[in-house]
Amino acid sequence: MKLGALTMALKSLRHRPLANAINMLLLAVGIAIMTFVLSAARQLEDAALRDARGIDLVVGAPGSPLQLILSSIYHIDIPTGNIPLAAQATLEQNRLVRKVIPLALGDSYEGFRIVGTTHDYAAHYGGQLAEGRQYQTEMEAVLGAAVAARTRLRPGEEFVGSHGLAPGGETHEEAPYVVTGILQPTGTVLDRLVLTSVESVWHVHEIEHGITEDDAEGKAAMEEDRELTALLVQYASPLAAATLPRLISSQSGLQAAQPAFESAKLFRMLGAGVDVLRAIAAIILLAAALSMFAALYNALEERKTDLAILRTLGAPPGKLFRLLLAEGLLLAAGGAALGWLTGHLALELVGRVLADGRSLPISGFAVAPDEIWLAAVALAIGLAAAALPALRAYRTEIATTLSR
Amino acid sequence: MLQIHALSYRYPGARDAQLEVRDFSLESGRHAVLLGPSGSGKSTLLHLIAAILKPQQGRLIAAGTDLAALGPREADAWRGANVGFLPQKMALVPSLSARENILLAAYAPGKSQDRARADALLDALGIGDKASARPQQLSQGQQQRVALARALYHRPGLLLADEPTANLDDRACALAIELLVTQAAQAGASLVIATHDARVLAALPEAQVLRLSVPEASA
Repeated sequence: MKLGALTMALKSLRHRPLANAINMLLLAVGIAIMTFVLSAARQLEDAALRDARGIDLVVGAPGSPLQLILSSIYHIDIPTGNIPLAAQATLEQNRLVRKVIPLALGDSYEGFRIVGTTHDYAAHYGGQLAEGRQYQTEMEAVLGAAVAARTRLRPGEEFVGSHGLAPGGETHEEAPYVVTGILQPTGTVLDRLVLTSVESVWHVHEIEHGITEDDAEGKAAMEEDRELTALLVQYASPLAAATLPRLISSQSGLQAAQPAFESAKLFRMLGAGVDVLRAIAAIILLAAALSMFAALYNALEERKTDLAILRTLGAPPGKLFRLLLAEGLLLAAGGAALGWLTGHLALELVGRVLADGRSLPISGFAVAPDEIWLAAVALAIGLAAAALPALRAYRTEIATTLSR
Repeated sequence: MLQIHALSYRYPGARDAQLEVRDFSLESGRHAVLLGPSGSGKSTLLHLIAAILKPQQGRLIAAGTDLAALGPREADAWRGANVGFLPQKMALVPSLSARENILLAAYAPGKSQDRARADALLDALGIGDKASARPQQLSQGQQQRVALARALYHRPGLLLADEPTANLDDRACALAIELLVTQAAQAGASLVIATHDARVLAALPEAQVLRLSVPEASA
């Protein structure tokens, strides 16, 4: 191999493997945490914004507005309760409302939520059928892409929902669903849902209460009590924001929550955690910079003769300066690459654990352009750590060094 | 090859001169011994000839170049092309192999690196099988040969050696001088040895001798 600043620097670093490896690891840990925190926060925020896009208001039972948003939009919390079916009709008649999508929740299949809704719901998220057809009659269901991939259910196959939103609930053996179609991936919450009609959800519920097709009286009583879990509302005009939430919340048994407001609140809470992690990463990076500086500086003492020899061989001082800088940069680049890979690997692992929990989508393969800043930070650390040793190398006094 | 006239050198901050040489000249192809006790400025003179130090007073012409007229970068380049320097400590870079240590002679002044040349030098010095060995895997004598190969890489006109026989027994001393002379002759270089060792003088009866003494002012 031809000798150049980089090969020389590499060989020199390898000559003191322990100290340099430790410094590289220290830097890698800092960069890994930074990568992880930045990417996870960004992916979660992106997913949250995507899932809530176009939904101006969620109407549901009174309780925590954040819980209402989490349960009805992101499907990661239990609902606050149920609301009367009539609320839908009332809202649909309001001039300020463009679109109302009803949601009936309560059951799940292998941890994926079964959502009783209209075809508008899939359309809202741009869900297109990958195969099969939409659900039409009661007890037909369409699977989100992630559900189909995970459960390996095919169109025409049957499955039974279980009560509650976590796996292991009581199953509704008497009322199996049949899969009619599978949706293409959308990158939204839709991928992790089983869609069916609101009527199907009611049907399962009625059978559970021992009411059969023949029991006309019981059925009529049940029909009067039919309820929904929540309504997703899109405004027809920005004016709605001023009046509609207050109007709805004034009615007993109803609550209106604004996704934009609630998710902003959520991100502020998460943001504090993100800031703490970033501060920890910054401290580790600072420690890495100091440790690297100490290592390069101490190594310089041992290498003064080497550097003087290079000068006697005709190397100008600038060459020694660049050599030392190259060592710092190489160490930093190695640490940055290692940290970046570790950060993304950790993201992917966490993403898989979350996918097992039917939760938020996080991938280790999502690389944002702003991650280049991490590389820049690492290289800056390498340069800063190497600057003073490099300057000392530049000033190597050949005659005095050789005469010692 | 070497012309010195009224040369003196004083280290920055020192009160008195460390070195004074009235007149000395060395013909091309001949060898010189700079003989003197410690403190007489042998190393300083060697560093001046190598353009490591810049002459302050007097004339120093080496390999046809007036060294006092060279700027710092020119001095580096001149040294890289014309001087083979063997420091008292045969410092090889420990992270590099024997061959790479020789190629430093090309890397340092930024010239093209000739592996074949490096290997041929190792062969000529009888350590061709050690090309990939690290300095710590070599004996003292082998390390000296690698340093010599490095000094000869550019076929320099001047081969400078600072106390090459320090700590050597009589036999090793004779071998070291013989090696230096043979290699210098093959490379067509003038050998300049700075030493306080009288055995060097005995081994080099043909050499021109410059006797240095401790300057009177500091004596």
